[in-house]
Amino acid sequence: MLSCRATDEWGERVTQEPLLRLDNVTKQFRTRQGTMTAVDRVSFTLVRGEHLGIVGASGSGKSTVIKLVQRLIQPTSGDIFFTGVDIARMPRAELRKWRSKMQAVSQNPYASLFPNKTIGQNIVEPLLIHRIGSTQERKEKAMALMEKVGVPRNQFYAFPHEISGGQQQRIAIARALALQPELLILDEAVSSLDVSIQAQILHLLASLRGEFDLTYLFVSHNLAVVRLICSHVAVMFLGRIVEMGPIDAIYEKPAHPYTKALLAAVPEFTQGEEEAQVAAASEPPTPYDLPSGCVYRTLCPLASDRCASEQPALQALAGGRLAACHFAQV
Amino acid sequence: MTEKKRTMTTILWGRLRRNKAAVVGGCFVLFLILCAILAPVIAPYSYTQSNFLATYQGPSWQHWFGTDELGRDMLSRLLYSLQTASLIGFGAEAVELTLGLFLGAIAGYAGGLTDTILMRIVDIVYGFPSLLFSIIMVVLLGHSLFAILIAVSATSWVGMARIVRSQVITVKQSDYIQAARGMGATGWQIIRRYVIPNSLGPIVVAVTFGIPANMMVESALSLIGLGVEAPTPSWGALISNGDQAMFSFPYLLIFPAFTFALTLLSFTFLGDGLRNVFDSKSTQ
Amino acid sequence: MEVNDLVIRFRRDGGVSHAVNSVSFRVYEGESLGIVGESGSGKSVSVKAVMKLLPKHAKFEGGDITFAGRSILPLSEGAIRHLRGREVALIFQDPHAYLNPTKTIGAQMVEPLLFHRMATKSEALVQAIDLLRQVGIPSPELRVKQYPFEFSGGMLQRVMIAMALIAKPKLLIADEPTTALDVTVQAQILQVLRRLKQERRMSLILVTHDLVVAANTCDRIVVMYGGRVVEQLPSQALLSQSQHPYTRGLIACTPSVRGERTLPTPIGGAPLNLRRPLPVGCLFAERCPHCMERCRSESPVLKTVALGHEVACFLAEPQTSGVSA
Repeated sequence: MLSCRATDEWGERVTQEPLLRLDNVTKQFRTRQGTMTAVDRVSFTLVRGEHLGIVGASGSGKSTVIKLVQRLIQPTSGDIFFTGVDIARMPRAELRKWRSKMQAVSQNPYASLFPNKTIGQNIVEPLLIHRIGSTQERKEKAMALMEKVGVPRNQFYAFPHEISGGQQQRIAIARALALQPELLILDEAVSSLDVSIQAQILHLLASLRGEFDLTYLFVSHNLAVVRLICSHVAVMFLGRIVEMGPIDAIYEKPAHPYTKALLAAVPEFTQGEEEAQVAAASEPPTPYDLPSGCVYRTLCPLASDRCASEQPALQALAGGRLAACHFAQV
Repeated sequence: MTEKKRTMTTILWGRLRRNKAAVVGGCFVLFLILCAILAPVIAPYSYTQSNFLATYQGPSWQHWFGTDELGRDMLSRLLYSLQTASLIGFGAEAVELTLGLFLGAIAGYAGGLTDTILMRIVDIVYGFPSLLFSIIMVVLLGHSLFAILIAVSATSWVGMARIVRSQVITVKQSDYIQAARGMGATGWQIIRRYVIPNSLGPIVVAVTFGIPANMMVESALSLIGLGVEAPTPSWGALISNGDQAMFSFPYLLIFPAFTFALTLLSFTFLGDGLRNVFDSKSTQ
Repeated sequence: MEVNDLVIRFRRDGGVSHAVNSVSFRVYEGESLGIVGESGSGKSVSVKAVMKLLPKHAKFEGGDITFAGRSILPLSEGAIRHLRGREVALIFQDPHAYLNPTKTIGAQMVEPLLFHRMATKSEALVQAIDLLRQVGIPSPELRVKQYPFEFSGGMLQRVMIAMALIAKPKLLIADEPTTALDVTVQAQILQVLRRLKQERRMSLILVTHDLVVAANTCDRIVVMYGGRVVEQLPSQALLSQSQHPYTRGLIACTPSVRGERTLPTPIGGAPLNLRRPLPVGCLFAERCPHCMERCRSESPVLKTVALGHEVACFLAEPQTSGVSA
């Protein structure tokens, strides 16, 4: 998982065709208030077997990125390569084939399950859509998947509203796995769950990824959760990636001031340690009227004249990391 | 409980069966439909057959509901008026449903300019005073059954179009439609498998309330003499006829008015029951 | 403020849900209390009951709530209204739902003062501006003339806090005030709450699903499960001395951005379904790793194990040493 510029440091993996590659993808929305840039020249590469987390505050464009990857919306510019094929401007009918290789689990399991179908039928549904197997085979497959995600087979005819939130998310995961995807997109997949249930689902995700040879693209505002599932992380702020790289390195020593602020704000059991310094209150810039230069400069404690005049590009740092800050150093 | 095969339909049906008022209402509606269909078979007399020796007769074994000023059997006339009411009630609703489904679904699914244009048309029609419009239509088109059917449904389809459109939009924006798109479902698959079944509830309820509303309009037209041409009997005509002789021969008013009220009430019970069935989240 | 043996049930669609099943807690003057629990733990219902803000189908089936020595339950609607806003103020998760979109922030802030006839309009506005500055809103003189939609979520929550404080309440109840906010903004809001509590010597009840947030913000913590209090202890004792298996479980399954990168230990099973009849015995028994036969037949009561530390578990043992800092 690297931008093109730093690939040489991962020599061995470059030879392999990446599963997903975004190249300078931009998405703008036209609204009554003007043009809003939701995603601004985002590039990243996701290699099979690596797991990328995208973190950021609400409005950072992280959800737009995964909608683009799923091609639920079309990018304004840029290319999206999935298994080596550019899907950015592919017609819908052709897209069908690729979509089965890329499945998503959303934040709200109850809303994403078909309410008029039992949970078993929900898992059968993607197979029906792609006309895979006979009725009996589909049912068998659904039952097997239910077992894999920890929902008893005898719940096949239960309806989504009759089971608990944790069970619903398990079914949503089972449904996503029915088409045997290579890429599993997790859109805040554990955010709506209670912490005790969240831990169960995290365990499930961790065990499934080896069993089904999955590559995760995990979008979340919860930095602690992303760390447990992903090998790499991209931090987004107002539509741009400000920092990305291997997760341990970044969490231990963030290079970008925004990453630093994000990590410092995560509540931790302190055990009498000194409290983290909290940044002063100020309104973040609106996406309709981005500041010149660095988008983070109005909130940044390090901001200088250079930040206002020159937009920092993602630059390679030691350890395969990238950061978009004039003062970034490790 | 959940090991047995279950579908949404059986669950909804089970829920409806537990609602006593809805079951009674539904049974009565069925009974009325049967009466209407079988009117030629079960009616003891022809609705036109007059008997000047037996005018204004009270209820008796020969004439259960009495006879009118021309000596026509009231029970037979009532049965045939049921036929008229059902034809108009269900027929006009079918027209409304077709128009409403078609235009509402297109507007809701397509969105954008198509939606704006279609909904402006709906708004304009909505602005017409509907009964007045129906009256004008009858005056222009004549008193045939077909003309009245058109007159009744001419303005009432807009309500259906609005309901269908809002349902389609709600369903279209739901997470599970996004999920279906992500699975690679085609547009047609999405409409057929998810949009239609999930937007059906409120539409079924609207239809149940729409049918008696159409019967009302038809009766109102007949009441002011603009209904189906005599001698074809209609509730409105019977009631208006009975109204003139209310004090001397009350049964002429009581029987038609009572069946009319009972019919409307049954539809209301059934509609309310259906609404609860679709709203409820419990599946026990 | 004292809540004793509170029992609340909801009746709806012919079913009964056991929202709160005998809950007791106290908040002392100048103290902050964190009420922690997962969804369906009854935490939110309990504090809404304190201000009688529950919907009509909620029934008080027992217990008592007293505020400053006075019982609240028998009070009339008028007397309660007097209490709300003036003595006790509330803030909620979604500030948008509680602010009037057609009125300026300033006009809405002075309302409680004018309503309780505590100040003239111009005095009230001066107080409002001062409070907005205290909660950390830049250039409050301009901001009072703006409408709610001109504020971001974090700023609006600050406005809510300022608004709640304008009548100088003795107790502030905050129900999940930071749940909808981004983590950096959450940290700021919690800091504002901590500082204001200190400066104004008021009591604070913070209701949250996040044990870490409660532990970092409050002096004392009440952990709820299935509409009952399972443990109550000082925040500093949470990590080292908490005893209830549920509290320990919550600590263990909270993920962290620091330390070892290991998956948290989950608590098995699903949360209690309060719409079903309550099980006999300990409500946590089904999910508890230490469940004994006794837990299925007998309901454990809160017992004191150390100063200010109560646990509702048969395995709880008194501590010999005092609370360490």
